[in-house]
Amino acid sequence: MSDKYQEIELHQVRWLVISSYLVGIIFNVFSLRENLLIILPPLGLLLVLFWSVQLLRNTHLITAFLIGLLYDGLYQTLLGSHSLLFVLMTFIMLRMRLRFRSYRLWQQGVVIGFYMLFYQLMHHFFFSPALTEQTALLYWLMPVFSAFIWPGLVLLMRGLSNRISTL
Amino acid sequence: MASDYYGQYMGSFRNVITTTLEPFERAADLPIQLHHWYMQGVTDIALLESELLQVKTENLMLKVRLQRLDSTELELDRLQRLLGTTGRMTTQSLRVASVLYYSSSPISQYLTINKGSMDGVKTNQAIIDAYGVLGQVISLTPVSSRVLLITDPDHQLPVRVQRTGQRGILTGLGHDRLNLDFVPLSSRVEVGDILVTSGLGGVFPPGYPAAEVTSVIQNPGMSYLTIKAKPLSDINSSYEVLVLSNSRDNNER
Repeated sequence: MSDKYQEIELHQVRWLVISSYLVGIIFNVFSLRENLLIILPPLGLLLVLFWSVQLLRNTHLITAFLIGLLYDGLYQTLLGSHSLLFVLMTFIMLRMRLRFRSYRLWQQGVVIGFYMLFYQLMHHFFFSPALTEQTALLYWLMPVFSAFIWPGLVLLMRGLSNRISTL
Repeated sequence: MASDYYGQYMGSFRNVITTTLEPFERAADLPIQLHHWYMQGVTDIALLESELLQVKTENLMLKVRLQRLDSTELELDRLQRLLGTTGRMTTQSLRVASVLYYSSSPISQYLTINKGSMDGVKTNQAIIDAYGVLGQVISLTPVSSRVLLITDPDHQLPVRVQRTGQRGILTGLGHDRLNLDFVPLSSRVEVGDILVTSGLGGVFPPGYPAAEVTSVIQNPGMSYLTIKAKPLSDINSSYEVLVLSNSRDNNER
C-alpha cells in the first residue's frame, strides 16, 4: 500500500463514502451508551475530513452540515450547533488540504490531534459539558486518541477505496 | 439555530432527525442484545423461580397497600366535595413502556422508550417509574420516543418540599445529581426532605415524588440556599416505566 493518495472520483466510491459515515455514527452511538467511550472522537467529522482530503473535486461542506445535524439529534443539542462546528472544521481543512496530502501519515496524525484539540475547546465552549474527574481526563485525551487512530483510519479507508475504484 | 432556541418551531424537524437516527441506535444496540440473549439462555431456572416468588410476594404486599389507598382516595374525594374544591385531583391515564436504551453523555442524559407517536405518546408527557419522576418526552419517532431525564443539565422541574410546601426549581447537573434552586435563606429545608412536583409548570402533574435532599449549605452573602438532591427514581436501571397523560387531553378513560 503506497503512502500516496490516488486520484479517485466521488462517483466511483459513493457507496463507500455513505456507508463509512453510517458506521462512524454507529460507533458514536456506542459512546452514548458507555461513559468510558467518551474518548472516542466524532468519527463522522474525522471521515468528512478524510474524504475532503481524498476527493478533491468536492467541498464536502454540505455533507459536514448534514452529518452535524445528525450529531445534534444524537446528543440532543441545539439544532445546528454541531453542524456549525463541523462546517468550520471542514473549512479549515479545505484551506490546507493540498499541503496536508503531502504529509507523512504520522505527521497527519499530529495535525489531526491539534485539529481535534481545537474542536474539543470549541465543544467545551459551546456545550459546557458536565464532567466528573474520570470523564474529564478522557474528554481531554480525545485529541491524542484521534491522533493515534487517524493513520489507521486513513490506511483502512484508502485501501478500501483503491480496491473499489479499480473494480 | 435561533428558531430552535427561541421556540418549539423545530420540534417536527427534530422528530425527523430522531427518526433518521433510529436505525443507527438499533444497530448500535445489537451487541448488547446478543449478550442479553446469550445470558438468558444460561440463566438458572432455580434463580428464575426464586425471582418469581419474590415478585409474587411483592405484588401481594402492593395489592394490600393499594386497597388502603383506594379507600383513602375515595375519602379524599368526598372531603374535597364537601369543601367545594372539586377538580383538584385530575385523573391521569397510564401507559406502560419499557426502556430500550440509556444514553448519557456529558452534554445530555436521556433514555429511549418503546412507545411512540403511533401509540399516542405526545411531547411533554411526564414519565415516572415505581419510585418517582424520571423525566419528560422531548421527541418522538413513530415507534419510540426520547425522554429527557430530570438529571439532564438542561432540565428544570418545579417542585415543592413535601414537609413544608416551600417551592423551588429542581435543576439537573448531569451524572445523577440535582440542585434545588431559588429557596430563600429563611426557609427550613432539612436533609432527607422529599421533593414532590408542584404542577406549576403545567407539564408535570402535581404530587409525584422527584428527589430527596442530600445536603443543605447556607452561604453567607447569597440570597438563596445551596441545596443538593438525589433523584428518587431508579434513573439508571429502571426497565419498565409509565407514561402519564392527562385524561382530559385524550378521552381514553
